[in-house]
This record gives sequence, C-alpha cells and structure tokens, in this order.
Amino acid sequence: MALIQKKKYCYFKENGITEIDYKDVKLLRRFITDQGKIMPRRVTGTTTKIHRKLVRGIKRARNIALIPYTNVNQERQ
Amino acid sequence: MRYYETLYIVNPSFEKERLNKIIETINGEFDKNKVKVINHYVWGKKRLAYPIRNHKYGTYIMIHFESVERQFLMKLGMFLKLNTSVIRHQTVRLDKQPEVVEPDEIMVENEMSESDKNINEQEVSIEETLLSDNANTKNEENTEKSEHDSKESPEENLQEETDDESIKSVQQEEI
Repeated sequence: MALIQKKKYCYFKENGITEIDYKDVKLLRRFITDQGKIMPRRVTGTTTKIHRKLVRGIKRARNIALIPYTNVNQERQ
Repeated sequence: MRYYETLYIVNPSFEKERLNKIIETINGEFDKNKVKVINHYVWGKKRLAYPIRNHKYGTYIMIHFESVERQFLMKLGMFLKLNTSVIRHQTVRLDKQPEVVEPDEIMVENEMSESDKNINEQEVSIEETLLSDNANTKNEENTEKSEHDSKESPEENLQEETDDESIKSVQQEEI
C-alpha cells in the first residue's frame, strides 16, 4: 500500500497574492520554522516564482529585526 | 522616476519631541538633495526580533520618497549610518507609487497602541483594586478576630477556672 499523501496547495495561488511585503510579519511567519529557518518548497507547496519572492521578503524582514535569524538561543534561555 | 521606501529603527527611549527632531534632520537631508518625500511617519514601537546594540525594543519610522538619482541612496545610507540615534535602516525599491498616508490614519494606529496600553492599565488597576479589597477584607477579619479574642478570652479563662475547680473538687472527692 502506497502512502496516500495530502496534496499540497500553494497558499498564495489560492488567496490570489502576487506580491509579498516584508512588513507583513503574520504572513511570513507561516513560512518559517520555529527555529526561524525558511521552510522548503517541498513542505509548503508554493510555486517557485512565489517562493523566490517569499525568500526575499523573509530576508528583508530579518534585516530590519521583524523576524529572527534564529530562535535557538532564545529557547535555551 | 523611482519610488523607494526606507524603514529605520530609532532608540525606543526617545520621546515625541526628540523623534520629531530626528525626523526634521532627516527631512533636511532630503531637502538638500531636492528629493520629494511622500510620507514620513512613525510606524510604531515594536519589540525587536533580536537585540541590536543591546536594545530590545525599537521605534520604527517609515519614509516613502521618489528619486531620480541613484547616488542619493548612497548618501542617505551613509547619513543614516553616521546618525547615532538610528539603530538600523533599510531601503527598498517599490514597484508602484505609494499611497499618501494621511495623518488621521497614523493617529488611528497610535490610538490602537494607546488603547492596548489603556487595557493594560485597566487590568493593572483592576488587580490593584482586587489587592486592596483583599487587604481590606483581611484587615476586617483581623479586627473581628481581635474583637473575638478580646471577648472570648475572659470567658475561656473563666471556663478554665471552672474546669480547674471541678478537677480540684473531683480530686478532693477521690481523697
């Protein structure tokens, strides 16, 4: 028996989002892990085109301290 | 003509007057280079995702501007970098013309934050009232107790005395 996988859908395609703003922290947080890593496309199911924009947005948000680069040290404290 | 957005973080301990001074100085830099500023407003005070220069919080200020020269971006970057009150800054190119943010909308945002503060204050006041109520009730209980003690104590003493007497009498009978 092959495992039945749940089909992944692109969140942005479903909601009709074409541009990603780095200030939209609530949206970006869906696509990073608890540690603060960017989730891979194979997990999120986003299209390549949007994923590239997403990565840019996350990196911009990290630079201006809206999103953490890493959460590892904070969890230990 | 290209549109840009600069977001910079200022020391959170600065109050309104000092923030306005910083905004004025930065506006002066824009005026020097004859760059048109579309928006320049305080975005809000936020908790930083990681500490920068030992600051846990920061006041975010947003500028939208349109510029032809690219060299101006270098100048602005240097200016913000050399400004000691600016902790971090980032300039991003926009694809579309940014909407002009009216002061009313900014006020609404500020009010939102203020309402949060009010809620916190209310919670604190409620807690305080609860504490004070508890203290009052405790005090009342204490006073009641003391009264009871003062009332009961002589009776108890009497009872004890009577008990003692009865015991004595019993003892005497035994003898």
